Amino acid sequence: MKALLIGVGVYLLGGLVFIAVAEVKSRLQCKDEVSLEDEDSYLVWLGLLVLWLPVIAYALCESWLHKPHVSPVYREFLATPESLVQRYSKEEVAQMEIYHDPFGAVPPVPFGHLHEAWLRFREHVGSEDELWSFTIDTRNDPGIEAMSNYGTVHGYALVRNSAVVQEIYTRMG
Amino acid sequence: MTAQLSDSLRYEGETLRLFTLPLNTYWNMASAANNNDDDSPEKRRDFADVGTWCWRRHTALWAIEQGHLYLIGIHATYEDGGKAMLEDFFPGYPNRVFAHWYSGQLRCSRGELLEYVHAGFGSRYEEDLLIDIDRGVVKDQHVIDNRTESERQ
Repeated sequence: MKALLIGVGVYLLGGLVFIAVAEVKSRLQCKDEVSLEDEDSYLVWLGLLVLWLPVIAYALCESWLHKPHVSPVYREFLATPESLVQRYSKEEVAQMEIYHDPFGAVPPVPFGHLHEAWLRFREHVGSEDELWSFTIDTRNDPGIEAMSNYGTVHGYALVRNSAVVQEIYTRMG
Repeated sequence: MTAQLSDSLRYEGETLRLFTLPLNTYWNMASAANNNDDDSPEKRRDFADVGTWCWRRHTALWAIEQGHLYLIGIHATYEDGGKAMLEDFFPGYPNRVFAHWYSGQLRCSRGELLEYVHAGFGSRYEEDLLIDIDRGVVKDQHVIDNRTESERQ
């Protein structure tokens, strides 16, 4: 019996500490706001005195379950500095990306039927820029949500001041 | 979502339903570096609505010959009523386009429909023929038997 009374006393003391902390905190945060009417205030404090432990438990659960959503940082290009594989010159890339078939059904120019994309890409290449091949797995990449169904993508990236500023693809899937 | 119309693939004397869409890969790759250029291949595509059974508004006919994958037809109508032609997207190549842009696995179905699935390409046929392609060139192929024990008997 004595142990029970001590336990209740400790619990209520904990409640008083909790109320005191809550009161100080609310006064610091809401200096100009209208406080509860006296009668309501007493009821709230009494409720907190008895239920302070479940209230804390509930608040902790809420903060764990509803962690603030961190939005992914979306990027414009698939390639990242980490995905770069090897540096090439424009001429080397143009040479590597010429295709042949038995029926002559592809133009003998860099990137074949994607030659226009190559020309657009090449327009962006400045004298100080670097050309790198890249490989990146787009699945589960939160920064490229709309393109996450491209699978593993290979291509070339234009790198300027260590940042990818343009890209062209050679394989997807 | 409704089951979608497949593309078709002519291969070894058969015309198969093709449940992989290499032309979509082409659109995606062609649109790279376009910087909102209104004349890019991606933007030129202005196909009329077909229905819920073909959200992509076109189907394509493919062929594998001498170990190479070719696009040999496109079936679509523009919003102004004109018929889409291969040359609209591949100038100078009206009949056959080497699909060098495609790397991956083509999934084709063969045989009877065993289970209709009212979504995408989810329906189950007797067999799937899987063809591995690297830059438009056939590298390997194998067949998967989709029948259950009871369906085989």
